[in-house]
This record gives sequence, C-alpha cells and structure tokens, in this order.
Amino acid sequence: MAMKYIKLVIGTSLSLAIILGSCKKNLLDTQPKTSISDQVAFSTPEKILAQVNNLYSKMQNAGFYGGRQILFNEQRGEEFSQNDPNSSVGASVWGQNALSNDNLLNNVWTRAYAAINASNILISELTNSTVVSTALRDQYIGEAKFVRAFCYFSLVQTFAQPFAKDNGASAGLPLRLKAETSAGDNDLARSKVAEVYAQIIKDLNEAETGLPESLGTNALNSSRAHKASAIALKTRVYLTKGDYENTLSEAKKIVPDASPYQYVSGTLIHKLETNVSVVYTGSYVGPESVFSIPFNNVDAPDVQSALAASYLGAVVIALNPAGIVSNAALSGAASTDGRKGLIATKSNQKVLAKFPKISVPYTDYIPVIRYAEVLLNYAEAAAESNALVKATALLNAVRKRADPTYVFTPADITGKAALINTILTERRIELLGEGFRTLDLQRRLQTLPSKTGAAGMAPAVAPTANNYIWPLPSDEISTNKLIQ
Amino acid sequence: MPGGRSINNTSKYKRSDWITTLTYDRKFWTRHNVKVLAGYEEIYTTLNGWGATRTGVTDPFFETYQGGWTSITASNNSQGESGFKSYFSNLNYDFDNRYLVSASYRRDGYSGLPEANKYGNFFGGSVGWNISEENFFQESSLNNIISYLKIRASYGQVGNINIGDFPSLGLYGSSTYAGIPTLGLSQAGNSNLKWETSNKSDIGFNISFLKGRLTIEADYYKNVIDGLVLDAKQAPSRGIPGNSISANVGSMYNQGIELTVNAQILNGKAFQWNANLNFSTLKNNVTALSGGSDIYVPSNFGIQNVTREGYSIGSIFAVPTTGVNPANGYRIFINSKGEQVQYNHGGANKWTYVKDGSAAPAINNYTDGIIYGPSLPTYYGGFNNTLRYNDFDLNIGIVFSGGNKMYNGTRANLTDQRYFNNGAFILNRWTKPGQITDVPKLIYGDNVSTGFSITNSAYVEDGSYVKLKNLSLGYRLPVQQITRNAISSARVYVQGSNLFTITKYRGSDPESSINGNSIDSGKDHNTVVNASVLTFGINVGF
Repeated sequence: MAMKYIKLVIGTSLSLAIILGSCKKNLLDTQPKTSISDQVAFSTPEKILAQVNNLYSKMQNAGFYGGRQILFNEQRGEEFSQNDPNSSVGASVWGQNALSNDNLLNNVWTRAYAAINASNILISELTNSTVVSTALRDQYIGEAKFVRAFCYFSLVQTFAQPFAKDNGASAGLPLRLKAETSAGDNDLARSKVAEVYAQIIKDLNEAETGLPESLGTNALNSSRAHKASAIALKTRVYLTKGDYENTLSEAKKIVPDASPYQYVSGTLIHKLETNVSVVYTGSYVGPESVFSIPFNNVDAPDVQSALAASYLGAVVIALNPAGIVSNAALSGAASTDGRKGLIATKSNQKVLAKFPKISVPYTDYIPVIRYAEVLLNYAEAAAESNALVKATALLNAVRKRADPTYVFTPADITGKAALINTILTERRIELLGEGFRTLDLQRRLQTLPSKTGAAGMAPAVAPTANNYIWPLPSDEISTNKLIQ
Repeated sequence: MPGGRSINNTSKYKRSDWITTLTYDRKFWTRHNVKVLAGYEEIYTTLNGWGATRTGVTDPFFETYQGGWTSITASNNSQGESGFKSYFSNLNYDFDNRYLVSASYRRDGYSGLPEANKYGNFFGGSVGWNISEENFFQESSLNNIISYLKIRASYGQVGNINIGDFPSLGLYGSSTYAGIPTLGLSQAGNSNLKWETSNKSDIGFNISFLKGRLTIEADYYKNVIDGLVLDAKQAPSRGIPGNSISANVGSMYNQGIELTVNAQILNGKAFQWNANLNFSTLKNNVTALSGGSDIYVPSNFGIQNVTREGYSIGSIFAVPTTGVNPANGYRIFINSKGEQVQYNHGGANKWTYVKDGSAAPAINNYTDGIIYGPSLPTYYGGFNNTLRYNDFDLNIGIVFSGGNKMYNGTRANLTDQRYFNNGAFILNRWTKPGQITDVPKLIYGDNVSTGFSITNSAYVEDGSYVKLKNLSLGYRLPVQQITRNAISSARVYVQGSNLFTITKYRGSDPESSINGNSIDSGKDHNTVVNASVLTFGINVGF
C-alpha cells in the first residue's frame, strides 16, 4: 500500500514537471529578430535617417528607376531596336504592345507607389516628431516630398495622357498622400492630370524650401536631394507641362545669365563636366550630377534590369540605325564630338556604351538629373519664349562641351522653329539612353515612330491611339473599385 | 571583365514537440465502455538560414565558393521562430459496442497571432450506431446477407497555424542604399488577425455483405473554412509591401461524397478476382474573399487562373474568342461590352472592331476575361482489379477524373510567332480570305492572338480523362521443387504505367498539370507529362 502511494506521487510529480516545466518560457511571445517593430521604427535619429535613405532605395529599385523604367522609356521611343524577343526584357514594350496584365508594367506602378507610400509614412511620422532637430525634420520632409514628386511625375507621364493633350483634363492617377500601413482604403479614383501636376509642383516648391543648399559631400549631394535637385526637377516638370515661363524662372535660379554656366553655393558646384565621358566613367558624383542613383555590390540591379547589360552586355536593345545615332555628331566619320566615343560597335550593330560595367555586379550609377539637361530645358523654354540668343548660347554650351570646335550652321539656329528643332535634336544626342525619348515625344504630342529590329516590327503610334500611353495595371483594376 | 557566380547557403530547421497525455480506459457494468484522454502539447520551431553569393571570379581556375572572387553579397538569409501550445481532451463512450459517442475539446495557442487572439477553442464530436450488433438485426434474415452495418456522423473543428511566424506585426526591414543603412516598411500589420478554423462534418455508413466479400463505405462530407487567413490584396497604389496584408478575409467550402467498394468477385481455388472502386466528388466554392478582390498573378504569360468570390478556387480564366476571322485571318475576341474586336500584331492599330475596322480599345486580359470553370476536378476516382489464375497474376489499375477545365498553355506556346517551335497544327493557319480555320494568320512576333500573353478561350479545354494507370502481368515460377528450397520464390512480370488515356484534351497529358488544391492548378504550360514506363522484371526470394 505504501509502495503504491509512493509510485503514485513520483508518477504525478513527473508528469506535472513535464506539463508545467515547458522547454521555453513565454513560448507564445516570440519577436522577430530580423525586422524592427513599427512601435520603434522612428524612435532614434539613426532610424529616421535610415528611413530617409529608404526613400531613395525605393526609387533605386531595379523594377523602377534603378533600371526598368529608364529602359522602357527608351524602348517605347525610336532610338533603339529590340534584339531579344522575350517579353521579360520588354519586347512587348518595344513593340508598343504592353498589356495591362504584364508584370513589368504592374511592377513599375507598384514600385513607384511603394516609394510614394514610404514618403507618406515618413512625412506623417516626422510631422510631430521631436527625435530630430526642426531643421533636420524640415530637410527630411523636403526629401520625402522630392521623392514623392519624382515618382508621381514618372507615373503620370507613363500611365496618363500628356498634359498638352487637353491641358491636364484627362484622368491622371490615384493621388495617395496619406500614410498607408493597415488594411482598407483600397478604393480611390484617379485625380485629373492637372491635379497630379499641381501636387508635384506643390511638393517640389515645399521641398525647395525645406532642403538645404548642400548636404556636405559630393556623394551625398548626388545621391540625395538638395535645394538644386528640387529646382532642377521643376524645370523638367514645367517643360513637360509646356509651361515655359515657369521653366525659365526655375532655371534662372540655378543657371546664371552669362557663361560660365554654373551654380555655386558655398562648396557646392553644379556645372558641366569638361569631358563628357567623365559623367559615366568618372566618380559619377562630379559637379554635373544634380541627382543620380548610386549602386554598390549589394544593391546592384539584376541582369535584365541593368542598363549596362541591356545596352552593351547582352545587347537586348541596340541603337536603331534610323534613330539619332545616324546624326553626324554621333556617327559622322569626321565628327570630333566626345559623345561619339560613347557609341560602340558590337556584332555589326551600333550600341550605347555609356554604361560600361557589363558584368555582375552592374554598379554603374544612373544619372537622373544632369546639369546638361537643365541647360537644355532652359534653352528650349527660352527658344519657345522667343529669347533666341539666350537659347542659342545655352545650346552651344552643351554642344561645345562635347565638341569645342563645332559651329552650328546658320540654318540650324536661325529662326525659332529651326532653333527649337536643333535643341530637341541636341537633347536626343545628349540624353540618349537616359530614359527621356518617349517622354520628350509625348509632351509635344508627337507620334511614336515605327521601327524595326530582330524582334520584329513596331508600328508607329499616333497620339490618338489607345496604346500611346500604357494601360492601367490589372492589379490596380482588380483591387481599386473606383479606378477607371 | 570577371564573370561567374557561386552561391553557398545552409538552413537549419529545428522543431521540438512535447506531448503529455493522460488516458483513462474502463469498462463499467460489463457493457459501458469509457475512454478519456487529456493532454498537453508544446511545439517550438526555429529556422536559421544563412549564406552568401560570390561573383566575379578572379581567375578562371577557381571553380568553388572558397576560391578567388571579386565580390560577395549575403543571400538566402532567414531567421524564424514560432511557438504552439495546446490543451486537449477527448471523451469516448460506447454502450455494448452498439451506440458510440465521442466529444472533444481543445484550446490551442499560437505565437504568430496578436496578443488578444492567441488562443482558439475547437470542438468536435461524433455518434455511431453499429446496427449489426443489435439483437433484432442478428435475429432477422438480413443477417444472412449483411454481416456488418454501421452508420455514423461526425463534426470537428481544426485551427490552422500555417500562416507564417509574425503575420500580424507591422514591421520595418533594413537594407542599404549604396552601402548606407535603410529602414522601411516591410510588412503592414493586422492586429485583428485571428484563428482560421475549418469545420468538417461527415455522415456515412459502412456495410459489408456475404461475410465480407463485398464491402461498401460511403460518406458525405462538407468542410467549411472560416476566417481563411490570406494575403488580402491591397490596391498597389497604396504602396503596401507585397500589395498584401495577412487577414481573415476568406471563407470557402469543399463538399462531396466519397464511396469505396471492395469486392471479391471470384474466390475459387484456381481463379480469384478482387476489385476495388473508389469514387469521390468535390465541389469547391469560395464564399468570401478579400472584400471581393480577385486573387491572381499579373504576368506576361497571361492570366490563366483567377480565384473569385462565388467560384471554385483557382478557376480557369480567359478572354472569349469566336475564333479566326475568315476575311483576314485575325483572331476575334469578345470584350466585356460584348463587342467583337480583332487583333493584328503588325497593324498600326493592333485592335480594331470587326464590324467596321475602326480602332478599338485593347483587350484587357483581366477586365475582358471570364471564368470558364473549375480547375479542380469535380469528380475523380480509381478502379483496380487483381486477378489470379493458378500461378499467373494480372493487375489492372484505371484512374479517372473530370469536370474541370484546363488552360492549354503548351499549345499557346506552340502557336507563338516569336522564337518557339510550332506544332504541326500550324499547317492549318489562315492563308486566304474565306478560309475557315482555328489557327490565325501568322505574323512575326505575334504572342497575343496565340493565347500566350493574353489567355483566350480557344485554349481552354475540358480536362476530363480516363487513364490506364497501371497494368502488370506476373507468373510465379515453380522454383521450390527445382532448387530444393534454395530459392523460396520467383516471379517474373511485365508492368506498364500510364499506358493509355482517353481524353478530349489536346495537350500531352491532362493529369500532369493539376497541382492539387492551389491557385495554380489547371495550368499546363510546357508541364512535364507523366512518363509511360514499361518494366520487365523478376523477383526472387531466398
């Protein structure tokens, strides 16, 4: 009887030990070790600075401005011929047949809005934060507004009718300006193109106010927004809108009246590089870079998104012989233009060699806003405003940097129409492969020309055609009931 | 320029599971049987993965990860942790093995759910009646034919913890911007996340005739899943990571019947024939989904599957087409307004109205597409026969399945006018006005009218089939006499699998592309077929 009692006690305590003495305390209270909780994500100055850098890394995404969106803006234009017929490298984009269900197109939209939401979150978290100084807070909010404006600008040019079509009366984008961090709010109608532009300009004006003149180093001034970046972007936005008066007033803030054309503020200098090739093969962060996307080994784009691989490595797209490469400056036997040196020949095709790092990792920086573009924006707006002497001087500044002895023939620069035409041609030569061509055609409501390539034939697309702009992504249509 | 890449990674997945149970099993007053179970369980799981990718070999000599490379980046890193706790109990009672009752209750806790909703309560129960044990039955003449008869019903709830480690938390992930630290929203949280519960009810009977020579088991089941945890789709314009938030946004049910018949048709000394037939039906319906938003994957391969409220999960989806326009060879699609729109890949206006050739809005795979049917078979089963005659044996296994649609993406691939091989059916392509054919005019680069980039109904096919899955013939050699028991048995056989299929499906194999109960089922895009295998063999036993 006693033995039995003891056995029972031992048995019970053993099972109690197993039941109660669990192998881990607080078994159900696990916390992630590789992510930071939203409760503390803005709790220190270091975390907030990392949140600011995150905004740029969203733009840097290979599906967006870190590669694809620039390639798509070239593929829809006429400067390149598609060699690779695979849809995954944008053959449908080049063929003017991008479909609503295409993941590439959905990605551009998704990545851009991810950057927009990151900006909205930062603005909302910092508005009442005292973790950083007021000056730093204004700067960071300015940077967020710059990124938000940049992304909306890229989207409105891609998924909405050009402003010039009807003064911005067409349907634009869902204008998301609030932080989105939980479920709900899927449905939001598109604002008008003019409303989107108004928001972009408002953001850039506020960014200009909040941003400092300089962030201290060339690397920071190139990879993050400072006052001149916001102003320079405004020259592009106003030019795209066809608002030449405001293009001029913004350009004048960072381009002096007379040569040498440069913007100096303390130690910060923005001007043309003496040698054009230094823009692409130098430090990448020289005075010409008003805003660039940097890369290192860790965040370099994949092969299908990398400019170097598409233009020069795998030659997914080669220069279209009927495009701007046929211009005497780029292919004339006697041309002494420095930009001719950025064209190479591979397998009997002319290819763009601006981005030379053709093996993994593809760490060529992407120039997004260059001082040369600002001068050309200025020149075009000046010519449109009948300031032909000024426009010619700015045009010459860009041309003679690449080809100091070049002299434009009088026919090229005499009269407003000829001069504008020459400035637009110079733009094609100067900005080739940097993602401008389609947008430059569309802002002037010009037909996207037909072209041929190994992947087939792409027909011309008139501004009235329904594929002149991209269709709305199917993912947005299936989730946002107010989008039309 | 150095090229090349070498990746090295390892993942350690560790799970400990402690179960403690207490059972009480006793018979009272000779006919009351009681069995009680109580228990406690703890599961703790960790995942620890790390690795790196090295690129740019310094010299072609190096072929291993440890060799010389110019750069290294982290890759395939993962770290996870989850805990699960359960208190469970079960009570079984039967009276004289005639009336059976059981009840169960469990309370489960999972670490991945938010504080207020960590625990869920789940109930179950069953009743059964062994009619053949009743006196009145055993005394009736039925007893001579029916040797066993039981009817039963059950209901049970089960929770699902297969929802990830931290699905409810709002999280920020860190990365770099050209080497500078970044921190950004990586997961939008949902503090309302709770247990997903499946409620399964079943009613059925077992019957056995002629001392077990014929047995039948039949069930009706319905499994209702409530609070289905899904990646609820968010409008991409919200900028939420992954365009999704884990939420209890779905409900669906599976219902049907399951029938199994076993028969010893012949049971002679020399000749025996056993047959087994099983047959199931399945009706799947998604009754609630993510606020009405469809689930599908945008792709430049077209949209072949959509999961939509009111339809079967992963239903086959395509834009309707009426075929090829005899006048010009272009494929005619029907848009969501019911208008006929044709596609000319080489035209300046690719999309035009059939009625007057004027420019039409482009067909949108998503908005103009419709659901053509379930990708899950609505019925399936098998019929197996084993025959023996003296030392010969023959096995015939037949499987069947049907009621589902498939998207024949392989055929779309074989029609594509880019750089793919074409099928022999391309010979029927449209070549002259008035020609009636189902293969459009060939235009270089065309991947739209061919069902590749936009799915169209010409490639939606019936996935029903009957297949001779297995056939084997064997002969048992009389080796024992010959070898004086040195060899105890020897059987020579010839066996074939996937020998013969009856189907209207034009692809290679209607069976190969059904990926089970997933949103990808019913997609056949160059899917590898089930191989036909012929085996000759001998089995020897010593």
